Amino acid sequence: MRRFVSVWLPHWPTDRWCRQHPDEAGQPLALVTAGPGGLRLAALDPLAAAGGLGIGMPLAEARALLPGLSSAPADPTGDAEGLAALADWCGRFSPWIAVDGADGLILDVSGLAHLFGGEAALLQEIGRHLARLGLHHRLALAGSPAAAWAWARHGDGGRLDPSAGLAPLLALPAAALRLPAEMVADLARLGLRRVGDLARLPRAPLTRRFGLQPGQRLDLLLGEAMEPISPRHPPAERRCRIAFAEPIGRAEDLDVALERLIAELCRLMERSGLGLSRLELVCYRVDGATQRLALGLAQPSREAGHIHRLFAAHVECIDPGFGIEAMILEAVESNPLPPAQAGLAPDAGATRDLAQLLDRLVNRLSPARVLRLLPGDSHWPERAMRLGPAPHSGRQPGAWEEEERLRPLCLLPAPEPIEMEMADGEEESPRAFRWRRVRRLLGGSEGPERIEPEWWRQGAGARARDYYRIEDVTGRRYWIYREGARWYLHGLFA
Amino acid sequence: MIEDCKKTDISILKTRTRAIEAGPAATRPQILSFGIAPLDAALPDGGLGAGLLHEVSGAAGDAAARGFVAALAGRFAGARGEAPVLWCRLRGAGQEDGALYGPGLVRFGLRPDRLLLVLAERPAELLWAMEEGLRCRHLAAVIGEGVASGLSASRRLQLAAGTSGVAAFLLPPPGGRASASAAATRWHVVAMPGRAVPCWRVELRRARGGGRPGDWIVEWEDAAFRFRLAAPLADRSLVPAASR
Repeated sequence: MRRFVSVWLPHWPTDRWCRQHPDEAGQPLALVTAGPGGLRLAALDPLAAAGGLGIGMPLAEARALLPGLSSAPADPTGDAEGLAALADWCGRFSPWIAVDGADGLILDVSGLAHLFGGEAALLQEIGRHLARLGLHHRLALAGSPAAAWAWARHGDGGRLDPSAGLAPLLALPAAALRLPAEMVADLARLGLRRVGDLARLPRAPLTRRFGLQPGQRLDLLLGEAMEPISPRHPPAERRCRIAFAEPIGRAEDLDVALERLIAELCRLMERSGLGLSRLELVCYRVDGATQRLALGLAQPSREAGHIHRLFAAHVECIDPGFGIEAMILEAVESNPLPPAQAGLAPDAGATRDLAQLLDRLVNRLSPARVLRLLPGDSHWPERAMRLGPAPHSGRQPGAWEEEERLRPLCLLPAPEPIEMEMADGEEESPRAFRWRRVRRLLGGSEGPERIEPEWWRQGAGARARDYYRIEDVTGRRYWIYREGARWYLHGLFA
Repeated sequence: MIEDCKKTDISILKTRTRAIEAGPAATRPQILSFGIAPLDAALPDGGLGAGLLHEVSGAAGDAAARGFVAALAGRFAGARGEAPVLWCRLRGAGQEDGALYGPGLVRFGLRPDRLLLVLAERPAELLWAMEEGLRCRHLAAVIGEGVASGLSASRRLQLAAGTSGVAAFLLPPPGGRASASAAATRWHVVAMPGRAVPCWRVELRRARGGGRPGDWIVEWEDAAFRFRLAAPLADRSLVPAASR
C-alpha cells in the first residue's frame, strides 16, 4: 500500500524571512513586490492575514488598514532554494522526497512508518521538527500524492485512514482537485462545489465541457491513477541511518557514528554480495541544513576499515553548526563483489592494495590530479599522448607501441620559439641557437624527420614540421623543429 | 683478480649480516646492480637498494637526472614483474622543462601504462602522496619531483620505504642548495656530449654505509635496457657540426 505525506507551509515566504531576521518577530509582516500601481503584497504572515489583508492588495492600502505592518521585499528565488534545502533536510524521514509547488513538499513514506512507531507518530515527529524550525505547517498522510495534497490544504489535515474509504475526499471542495482557479469558479457556477459532485457526473460530458484536466485530477485524487514523484536525489537502494537522542557536534563523536554506519552498510553489502563504488554521507543539522560528503572508490569494496580511513580524512569538512541530529549513509552505486576467497588468487591482494592506494590518493587530492599516461593514437607529437584518470578498473584502452623513432623524455607544454644563428655566409648550417635568452653552441645534429599534420583534425592552416635532434656542446639534447622559416624547441632528451 | 674475489666475498658477507640484522626476509631490501663493476663496487651493497631513499639532482634545462631515475625505476619495475611506478610531481615545478612524455619513456624501460602520475599542489601534499605510495609494497618505485625534502621529511620517507621495500627517488628542484637529508645515496647527474645514446656524467656524492663517492660517464643502452660505461676514447660527437 502506498502512503504519502504532504507538507503544506502556508506561510513559507514570511516564515523564512522571520528565520533570517529573528529579532523582528511579533509584528504583522507582509512581503511585497512591484505590481501595477506600486508595491503590492505578495505574502502574508498569520498576523497580517488575520488583520484582513489579502494577497495583491497595494501596500499603501494595507498600511492604512494595519498601521503596525512591517514590510520587506519578496524573494521568490530564495524561497524556492530554501524550500529545496528543506526538502533535503526532510530526507531524514524518507528518501523519496520532492518539492511540491511553491509552498509544499511531498514525501513517499510507503512502508517506513513503522521505523518511527506508526503513521501517527511519524506525522507528529515531522510536525515537531517543523515547529522547532518556526514554520507554520499543515500535514496530511493519505494513499496518493493528490489526496495528501488535498487533505492538507482543504481537509482536516492529519492522517487519512484507508479504512475510511473515499467519503472524506468526496466531501472536499472542488478546489481540492488542484484545478485552475477560473475552472473552479466555472464549476461552482454550475453547482459543482464538491469533489463528490464531479465524481458522480458521467465523464464524457465533463471532458467535453472542461477538457481532460478535471477527469485526470479526479483519478489522481481518488487513487485510480498514480502520479509519479521525481525525487530531488534519487534514493539509494541500500542505506543506513542513525538518529541521535541529543545533537552531536564533536569530531570524535561524528567519527564513532560514521564507523558504526560504515560497518552496518558493509554488512548489508556483504549479505547481498555487493561492493560499494560510490557512497554519500548526509548529516542532518539541528538548524534545518544538510551537509553532504561523497566518496568514490577505485574498486568495489566492503572493507569497513578502508572506507572509514577514506572518510576520516574529510570528517573535518563537516560543519556541525549547532549539532547534528541524524546521519544517513547511502550506497549510491554498488557493484557485484563475490565473497572473499582468501588465497585462491595470489594477484588479488596486489590489485586490492593498489586500488586502495588509488582511493586514498584520489580522495585526498582529487580525481583530476591522479593520472596515467594514455597513448593518443596519433603521430602528431602533441597528440601522441594524453593524460587520463588513474585506472579505475585496470583495463587499458589502448596499448603503447614501441616507438622506433627517438622521442624526447620531456615535452614542453607548448613549442617555444628559438633563434638560430647561422655560420658566416652559409644559409643552411646553424652554429648556435638561443633558447630562453641563453646562447647555446651547437655540438651536433640529426635529422630531419618530417611530420605531416593531420589535416583531418587540424584543418588547412597546419603546416608540416621538420624535426631535428640536436646537441649543444655541454651534451644537452633537444628536440627542435622548423616550420616554414621559423624554429621551435619542443622537447628535451635525457 | 684475487683482490676482486676478496672484495666480492666481503661484500657478500656484509650483505648477509645486514640482512640478518634487518629481520624477516619480506622486509629485506632488494639490491639492483648497475651492471657496471666500478660503480657497483662504490656502493655499499654492490648496487642500489630497494627500500631506501635515493636523491638525484640535476641541472635546469637538462633531462638527464629524470632519465637516470626513469631508467632505474624501469629496472626496479622489471625486477618486480612490471609492478607500477608512482611518479609524484609538484605542479609548477619543472614546468619549464616540460612534462613526462610517454613515447619517450618507453626507451628507458619504464612502461607508460605502468606509471601513475600524481600532481601535487604543495610540497607537503607531495610528500604525503609519496609516503602513501611507499606504504604499498606492490609498487616498484615511488618518485618525487620538485621538492627538496628536509631532514625529518626524508627520514619519514626512508622509514616508509624501509617497511615496504619499495625504492624511493627524490628529484629536488635544480639549482637548489643541497639540504640535510636522510637519503641513502645522493647523486648528481648531468648530460655529457655523447653518441646517439643517452650519455650522462653520474656523480655519486654520498652513500651511507661505506660507499665511495666518485663519478663515471655512463651510457644507457635502450635496446637492452641496461647501463654501460662509456668508452673513454670513443668519438663523442653525433655528426660533426657543419661549423667545425
